[in-house]
Amino acid sequence: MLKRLPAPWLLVLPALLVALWHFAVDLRWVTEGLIPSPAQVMRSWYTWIFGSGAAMLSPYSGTWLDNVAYSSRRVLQGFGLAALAAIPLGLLIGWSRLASRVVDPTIQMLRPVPITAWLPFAIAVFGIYDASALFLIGLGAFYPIVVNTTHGVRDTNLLLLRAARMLGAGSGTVLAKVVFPSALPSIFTGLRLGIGIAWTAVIVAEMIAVKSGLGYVLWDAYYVGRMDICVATMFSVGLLGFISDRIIVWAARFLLRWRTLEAHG
Amino acid sequence: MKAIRNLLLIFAVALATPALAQSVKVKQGMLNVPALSPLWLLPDEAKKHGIDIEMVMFQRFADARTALASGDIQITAFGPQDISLALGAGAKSLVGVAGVGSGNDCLIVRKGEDIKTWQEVSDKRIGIGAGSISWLKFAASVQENGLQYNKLKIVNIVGGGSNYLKALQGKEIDMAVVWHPFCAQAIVDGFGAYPTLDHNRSKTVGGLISVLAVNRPFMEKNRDAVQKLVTAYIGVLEIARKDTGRWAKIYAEKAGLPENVAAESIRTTRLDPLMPLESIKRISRFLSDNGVITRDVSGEIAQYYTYDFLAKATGKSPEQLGIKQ
Amino acid sequence: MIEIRGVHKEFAKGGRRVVALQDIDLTVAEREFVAILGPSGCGKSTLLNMVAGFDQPTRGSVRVAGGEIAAPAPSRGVVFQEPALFPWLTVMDNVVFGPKTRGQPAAGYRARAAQIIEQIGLSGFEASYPAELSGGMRQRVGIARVLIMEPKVLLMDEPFGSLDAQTRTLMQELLLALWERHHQTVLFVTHDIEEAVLLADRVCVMTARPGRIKKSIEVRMPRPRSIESTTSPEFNALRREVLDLIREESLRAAMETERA
Repeated sequence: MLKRLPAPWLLVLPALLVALWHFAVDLRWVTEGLIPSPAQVMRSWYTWIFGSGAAMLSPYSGTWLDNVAYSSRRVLQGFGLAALAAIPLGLLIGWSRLASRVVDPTIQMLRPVPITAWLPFAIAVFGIYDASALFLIGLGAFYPIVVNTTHGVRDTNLLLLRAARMLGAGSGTVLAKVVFPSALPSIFTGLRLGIGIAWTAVIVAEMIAVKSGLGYVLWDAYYVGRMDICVATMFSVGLLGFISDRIIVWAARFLLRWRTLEAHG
Repeated sequence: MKAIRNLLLIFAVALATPALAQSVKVKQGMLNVPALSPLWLLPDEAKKHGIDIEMVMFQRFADARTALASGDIQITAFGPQDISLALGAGAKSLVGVAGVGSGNDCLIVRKGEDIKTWQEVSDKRIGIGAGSISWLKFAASVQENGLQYNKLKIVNIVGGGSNYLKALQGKEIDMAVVWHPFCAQAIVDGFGAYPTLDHNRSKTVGGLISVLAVNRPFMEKNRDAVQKLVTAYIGVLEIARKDTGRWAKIYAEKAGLPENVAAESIRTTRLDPLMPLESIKRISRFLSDNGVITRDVSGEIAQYYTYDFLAKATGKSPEQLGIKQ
Repeated sequence: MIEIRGVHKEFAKGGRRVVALQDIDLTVAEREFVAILGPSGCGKSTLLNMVAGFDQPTRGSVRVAGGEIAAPAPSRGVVFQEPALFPWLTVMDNVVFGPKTRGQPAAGYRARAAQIIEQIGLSGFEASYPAELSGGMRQRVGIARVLIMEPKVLLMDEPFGSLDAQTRTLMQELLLALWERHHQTVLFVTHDIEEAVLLADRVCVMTARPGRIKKSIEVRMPRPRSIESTTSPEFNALRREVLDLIREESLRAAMETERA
């Protein structure tokens, strides 16, 4: 079995990619000025985070933390709403054949519609404020959560259900005390996928009439040709998405301790 | 025999030459903005000079700018700030060759809710499209009138201008800083009105709406073709100026708008190939002063505009064409 | 205690009609230990499931303590082929699942649980999770969680089938010891002849599909029994008798499978 590689090995590929990027810009493999160099991105990102006394009015000076806070709040709220709706619905669809037949086809038909396609609808219905953004982020996160929850429910070991009923549990107890805990690993998979999509969605969602946030900055910077800020935004979203994912993984590891144990009897 | 053969050869070459000359293919970037609408006539006009134009539509000025810089298209029109923005990021492949005119940008408010002074702007919600020349003019005007742009209630609306109108109607914003045809639409639909306020008078930014630009590598290899394009362009401006009816009609047709909206849109637009270089320098300064671009390009920007083609096409001198304005 | 009358079970499989059980008549007296023995596919698990309440006969009736069976219940405790413990609960929590679900007071069931855990030899493992236990240990917990409900009837579906030979022997001894204490009515499904003869008062041999009771053989060995009992001449005689019956059916079952 492969021993776990020491940490420095994890950096080899990223380092190679950055080097490639640097040379692509330096040696003008792409038209000059269209792609920023890694150094430029780092400089601009630094200014964006810490500010530079000079251009105080600049939208890209010292405003990083604010934008991160704003986007994070959107993502958490949208994601929270999605989970609140998707987990019970997933449990229901997985558990009840009737519910499955009534609700599932609609969900599956709407699923392939990308978030960008929902944008006009969102603006029309929710106007140009936060509600639209939350709708889009929530919509994006909704599908993986509901699908994985359903899957988790359907995967429940039949014998566990029989054992519970045999021990005197009614339907409600079976659902809450057997099906739900059994589906929890799948639910967490859904949550992980959902948070990833939520961060993707925030870029789309923040296109519509909000004053700050990483998505807003991305589009704003693109319009004025600040590709360096665009790239810094991409990295920021990637970083935050990564951190969110880790948080969920750790929560899962904690709540699902029983999965990682090994027999010693 | 030899003589006949030579004659035939010369004849063949003579026939072939126009065919060879006819083979310059050019891609023109285009947006559906009233001020640029005369450019719909450019392909026909250019054909008379032996240039074959293929139109490429863009949704955003930023996209057209990028495409021109990379050489995907050879000619397009965009805002007077776009070459400065590109240069600020290090892109050196854009060259401005002519102006387009002024008057396309407009402010719009709900009917009966006029905004008369700049001071009133501080507690209104303003819908604005970042990066557009509208935005620049507005931001510059705001500063010139003693307000801080960052303190205003700015709502960035992205995507189609129709979103601005919806937001205005829905009272989500109080004023939209846009361009035609959206103001025209609001006027014709009856819910909008022009405010007393005017941002086209900014000392910094001036009233210029757009410049015509070409891709530098293309220009250096095909000076002849670029000259023909600029000449054709001047012809197009003439046609539009003389026959505003035809201009409105073409715009209405291409943009899918009713003719009265198109007519209102072009009513305040003045077509003019003038390129006010000093104005463009001030715009560049404004951009770097406000941290939009990371360095001051006002010193070098002159190298990215040329009056050669315009001078030959109009017979006027660079001074007459705005090099000192 | 258990009365199975004229039970017939068929189901549809890929458009074909399959008869799993045919004309089953079986009575299990109170406190009697009956083993059901038969080749694979003979329907013995299906029969058990019907007594448990997980399945219904197509024709005929199954009665326990005089009443028709509507659904599973703790009075008919089931020990499954796999332990089927709740992996997110500790041993103690698994054992007290039944009483807790029924709303019984904690003071009562905790004490009983500790007792039963001791009886099955898992004292000290109350806080362990199923993943930390061996197959044999898990099955012991499976038995414990049923016993705590004090069932009248114990239904066991090849409970030791997935264990290794040594563990199986230990489990058989454990079961004998536990049964000596409480003497529930037991219906025990197995394919292991020695196991059936060792544990049961009566061994019912089933035919290959469609399953019928071929013959019921009394096991008149004295109790309490232990592993030593398996070496006695009585045991061997019974074992041979059952083996002959089974062999016929096993061959028939094998041929059916080849044909199908």
